Amino acid sequence: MKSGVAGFDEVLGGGFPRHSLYLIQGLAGSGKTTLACQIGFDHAARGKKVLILTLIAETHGKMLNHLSNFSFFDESLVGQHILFFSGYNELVKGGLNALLQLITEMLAKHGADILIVDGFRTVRDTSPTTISLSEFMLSLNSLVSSMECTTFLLSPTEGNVADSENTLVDGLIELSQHEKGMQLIREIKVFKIRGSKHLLGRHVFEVGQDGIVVYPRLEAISTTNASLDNTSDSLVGFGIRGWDTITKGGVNKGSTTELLGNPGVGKTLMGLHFIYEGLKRGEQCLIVGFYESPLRLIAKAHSVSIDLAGFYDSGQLQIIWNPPLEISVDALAHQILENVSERKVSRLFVDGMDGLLDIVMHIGRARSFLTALVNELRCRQVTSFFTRELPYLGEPLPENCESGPSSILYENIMLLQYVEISGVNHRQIAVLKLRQNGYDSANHIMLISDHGVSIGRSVSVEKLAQEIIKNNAIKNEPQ
Amino acid sequence: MKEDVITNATDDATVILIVDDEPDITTTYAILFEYHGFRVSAACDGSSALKMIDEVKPDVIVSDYMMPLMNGAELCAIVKKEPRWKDIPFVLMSAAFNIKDIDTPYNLLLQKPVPFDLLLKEIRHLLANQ
Repeated sequence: MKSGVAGFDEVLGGGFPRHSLYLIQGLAGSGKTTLACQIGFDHAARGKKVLILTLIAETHGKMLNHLSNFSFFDESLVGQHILFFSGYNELVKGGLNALLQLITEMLAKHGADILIVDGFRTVRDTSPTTISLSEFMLSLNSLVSSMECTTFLLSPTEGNVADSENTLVDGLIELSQHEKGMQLIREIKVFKIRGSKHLLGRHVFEVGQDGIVVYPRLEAISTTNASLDNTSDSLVGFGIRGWDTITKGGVNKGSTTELLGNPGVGKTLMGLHFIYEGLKRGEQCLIVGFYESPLRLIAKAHSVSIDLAGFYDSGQLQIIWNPPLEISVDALAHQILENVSERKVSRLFVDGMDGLLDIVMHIGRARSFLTALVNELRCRQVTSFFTRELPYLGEPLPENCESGPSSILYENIMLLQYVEISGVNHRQIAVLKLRQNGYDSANHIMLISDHGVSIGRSVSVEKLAQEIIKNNAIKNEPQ
Repeated sequence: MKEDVITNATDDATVILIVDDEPDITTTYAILFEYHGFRVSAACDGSSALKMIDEVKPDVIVSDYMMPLMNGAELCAIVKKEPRWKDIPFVLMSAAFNIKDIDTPYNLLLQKPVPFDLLLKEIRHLLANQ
């Protein structure tokens, strides 16, 4: 049974096995009711009958008022395909047996396809013994299976503990929240789904106007696509003649390149050249930025004769711009990959790996996340450039510059640095690593003018020339 | 959950039968109507309400629509068909936005949540027109 919640079915391994009993748990405000009702409204919209049975929970009027803020809410379904009832009276007066009898009569009378029981914790609180609760859970499971009604129990609890509510259901799903500093993200975890190969671990979800959207953890999805490495031997040029010469034609199509360099050295311009070259060839391109808005980026490109405006207006170039503040890295990755797949993007430029890393909330996750992202891009044959900031001028290279994630993640690494020659700071570029062999490994002078970036002679030649001039000047000084 | 009880009001007070499966609704309305001098009885569904009418002899019935086993519309239809009860004003309240039972012979239909002041005003109006 499809959930009707974007991204959730992928986590579930295809959807919910029908006519089973599920427990959705999570503390107050975690999104249980929204998730269950979103599933309910989706099925009600397709003609299914949905019963929402509340125990101790918010009133039906308040619940409907809250739900009415979501786009999935359809008031015409309420009272027809979605019916709200309270079972609290039966539970308090007649105990678990009376509640079970009420549910039986309700399912029989209305022929429900989906039953949602909100405030299920009340059942435990009113249960006289643990064994009676277990018997109730067994009976309920058997009942909903016999009456072919997929049932969701909502409980404000956490953890996969050995209580009968957890063990005697067919599926256990937990909604929780993760905090880092003042930031908070919502996460969903499937502990078990009998009869389904669900994704393990936690996955981020967001609650917006359309309800809940789940972003399956990229690492979990990517694992299943690991065999689809489509990097080809054909080369992709940069649009800068000297750079193409150094690399003997460019980088491999579908490969991943890191532009590593000091602030202001020209990483973004190099990336814009790479994108511009693709656009001129008719390719679909995508820029992902964190610090410069699309307008500023286009203006910056225009100042060095790279005219992106026409391509941006036509949609051949799209720019995803998010300041690295309150955004989810999983949502962003989803947005990037969706854009790449839908538009068949062949060139991607991510300007600011640091911005991307800033929004990875879990400590230690950055490496596995980036590995998964790069893997997905390779599978889609996207040639990707990522810029990464080095320390300011004069500070040493980080120790992990080559032994850290870069050397594993990226097939190609270009180093852009300032170098002092005879008291003047020059830009230089060097290839640290290239997937194909036979590149020029020397440092080359890099020039930025109104016409963009150009690559000059190797620094050693330039430096030699400078030294010669300097020596000649000394010799010619009057004694 | 409060048991179905007749509250301590004067013998000549107006009696309201509140029928709702949500206990917080019946409890709240009972307190508020008592405060305004009514006698209140409460039932948690349509079939319980039917069993109480002859004993309670309500002057007005205020019923929820969506309730288990017998809903408010079914209850209303039975009440209005029974000669002994047909003149009792019947207020149907529902969280549902479009009730198909438009043939239901209720005296007043209100969309939940209903502000108490509005409900009180409407009930007084219904009683005054009796």
